[in-house]
Amino acid sequence: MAAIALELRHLRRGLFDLFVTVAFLVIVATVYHYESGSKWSYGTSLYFMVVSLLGIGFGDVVPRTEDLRLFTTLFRFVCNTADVCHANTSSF
Amino acid sequence: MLIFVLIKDLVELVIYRRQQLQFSIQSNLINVAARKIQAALGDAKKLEKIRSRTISTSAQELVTSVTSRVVPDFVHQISEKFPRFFKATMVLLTLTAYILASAAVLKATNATDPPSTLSDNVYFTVTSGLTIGYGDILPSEGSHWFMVFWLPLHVIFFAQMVYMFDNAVRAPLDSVEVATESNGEITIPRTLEMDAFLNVSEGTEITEAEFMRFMLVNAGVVPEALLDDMHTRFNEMNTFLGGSDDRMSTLNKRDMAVFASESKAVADDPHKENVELVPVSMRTSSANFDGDVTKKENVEV
Repeated sequence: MAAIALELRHLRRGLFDLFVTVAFLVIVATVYHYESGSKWSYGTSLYFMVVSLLGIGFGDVVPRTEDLRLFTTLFRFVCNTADVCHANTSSF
Repeated sequence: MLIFVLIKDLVELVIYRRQQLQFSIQSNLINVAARKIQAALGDAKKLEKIRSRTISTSAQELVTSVTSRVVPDFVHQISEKFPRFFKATMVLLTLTAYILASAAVLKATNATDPPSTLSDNVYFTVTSGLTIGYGDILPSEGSHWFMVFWLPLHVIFFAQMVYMFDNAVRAPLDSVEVATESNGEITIPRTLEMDAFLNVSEGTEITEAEFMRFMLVNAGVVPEALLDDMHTRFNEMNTFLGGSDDRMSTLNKRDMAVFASESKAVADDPHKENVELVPVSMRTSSANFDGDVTKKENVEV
């Protein structure tokens, strides 16, 4: 029983983390979608978010304009730092 | 995420089968103890309650019996003789199977750009899973949405496999020498390796009690049998009073006072041969929990 309760607690926390992450990704992807003048579709924006957040960086989808590059630099700095800190403090 | 959890659990199921066996033996002990308390009190309803709480024991036994049929016998012998080798091999096999399967799926769906052979797909799978990302083989335009969902799971799975492989290969817990200083103080070295904690299969948090148990036993300060007995005793009281596990204690200070008065009564007993490390409820002389042994003797006289 306790094992199941523990699993449920983990699952709930994991689902919460997942929800926050997905909401965050979608919101920022929308920013990229409109900032690029709709050149990037939602799919491409999300793909860019995922590839850069995971640290893979294929390099096929990259920001070209000055504004987007500045935004990406600052934003990635904050975002990836928060991600690493979160990974070190949670067991998800 | 669910598939990932499933695969991870399957690997751990085989690896930690021995621990599951131990666990079921322990819960059987609790079951027997609960029945003894109940026989003393003669209350049939509570027995049913306690039984329904420990019904997970039979589920554990079912899992154990199924795995012992599916997994051949020589695998168990290998896992007991070479546990580190066995764990590492299991992890590597799982990882290899996963890489080949996902590469095959990527090839079948033409998910990479330029369209490439199976070996190129394996190359893509590994370089993206380890987050290297050379960029010479890319996801094709149409597979961006698929990548959005697949890449996170992929990277997490790789990280978990690397972590499990590292755990398996790492040196096992050495016997720790306890330094006894000239003034008789015992010190536990701070370099005590904590790897044994990683073998706990349910949950990742440990309680303070588990931490203390680990430190005391591994430093050789306290015999494990004594701690086992205290654990059993706690579980008996806790189960009796409505708790389900040592992680969810329902004991309060009043219960402890009752327990203490009974212990004191036993310790004050002139017939000292009764004073043993037998759990309270298993002693025939003190079958009920009111804890007043002397009073009971008076009644009998």
